[in-house]
Amino acid sequence: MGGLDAEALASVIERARELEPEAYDELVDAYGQRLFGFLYRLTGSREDAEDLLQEVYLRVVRTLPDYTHEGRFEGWLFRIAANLGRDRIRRARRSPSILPMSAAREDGDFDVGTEWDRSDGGEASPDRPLIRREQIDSMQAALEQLPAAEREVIMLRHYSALSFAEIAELMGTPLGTALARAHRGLAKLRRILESNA
Amino acid sequence: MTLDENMMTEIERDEAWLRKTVPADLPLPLERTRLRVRIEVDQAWLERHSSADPRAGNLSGVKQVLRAEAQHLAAATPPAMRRSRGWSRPTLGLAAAAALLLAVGLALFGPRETAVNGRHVAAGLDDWVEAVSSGTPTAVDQAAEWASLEVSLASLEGSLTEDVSAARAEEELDDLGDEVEALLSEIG
Repeated sequence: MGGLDAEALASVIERARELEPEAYDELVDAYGQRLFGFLYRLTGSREDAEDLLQEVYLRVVRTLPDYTHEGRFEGWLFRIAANLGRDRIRRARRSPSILPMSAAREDGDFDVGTEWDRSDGGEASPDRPLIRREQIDSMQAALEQLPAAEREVIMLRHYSALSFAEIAELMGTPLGTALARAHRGLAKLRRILESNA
Repeated sequence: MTLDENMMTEIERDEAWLRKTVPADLPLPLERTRLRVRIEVDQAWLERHSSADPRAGNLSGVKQVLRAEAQHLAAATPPAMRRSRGWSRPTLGLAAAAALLLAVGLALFGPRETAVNGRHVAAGLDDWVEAVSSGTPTAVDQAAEWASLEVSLASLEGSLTEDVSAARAEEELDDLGDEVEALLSEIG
């Protein structure tokens, strides 16, 4: 699952501590897409996810000097992403001017397909297969029916290479809680998607 | 099979199903992230290495720091060591790149903006980066010029490792500064 091998990662981290720009490029290349996927699934907004992705790396620049590398860089990175994602969701709930995807959909004023179509840098494309839009839409809609903690643990497992023990530590919960959330969340997700199939 | 083992088996089964079901995410172009991170890195480098008041943030101030750095490097480093010292990144090149980025920030936010904030610079650059990525001819030309300047800035450090005098480095720095200013007046 992407990323860098242990030796290369240790070297990149060391160079990043010295504020070598290319080292940060390598970290963006190695983890950027997966972090983005995780943040998108967490927030339901591509724009928010890209903004948060940048914020994750800015935090890395600022806090890497205090990070102790014990082979758990990916966990550290995803912890930053999860914390920022949670903060953004909390703020979105408080501020009516920042509409989370689900709220926008309730207003009938949000076109997921259009947003995704623009995401590759071009204009909205009417030619993109409708089935793909529907897949994306139904998956995101199903994810949003899960409690945030269940969605988070499932998406952390899906996008990172973290074990349940690491996820439990990251989320500040006992291992059993993380396992139970994954178990419940996955079962619900299956039910929702299979009932819509 | 214990309850936990049973749960784990079901989780693994459902995760395998999820991997097949979740549509592949459309890739995100990472240029904007890279650029924003670079600005932050340069800003952090400058804060770490510059004894100048970070609020000064003007080109001449940064150039003074660079000159001091160049003189220090040229005077304090025996030629034999210059090729072998363990810097992972051209120190002066980084400082010069930081100067360029700070100067871009100044151009975008005007002389009143004395506290050059990397985040503001990044936000300001977004528009310009958008213009570059959408192929606006002027912005594309400016980007090419910027890239060329960055190469020149990096090669300045290279010239130091080849035992070029501080005076020569300073002269090159001045020339580059003029080019930076000319580019900034275009972007601004």
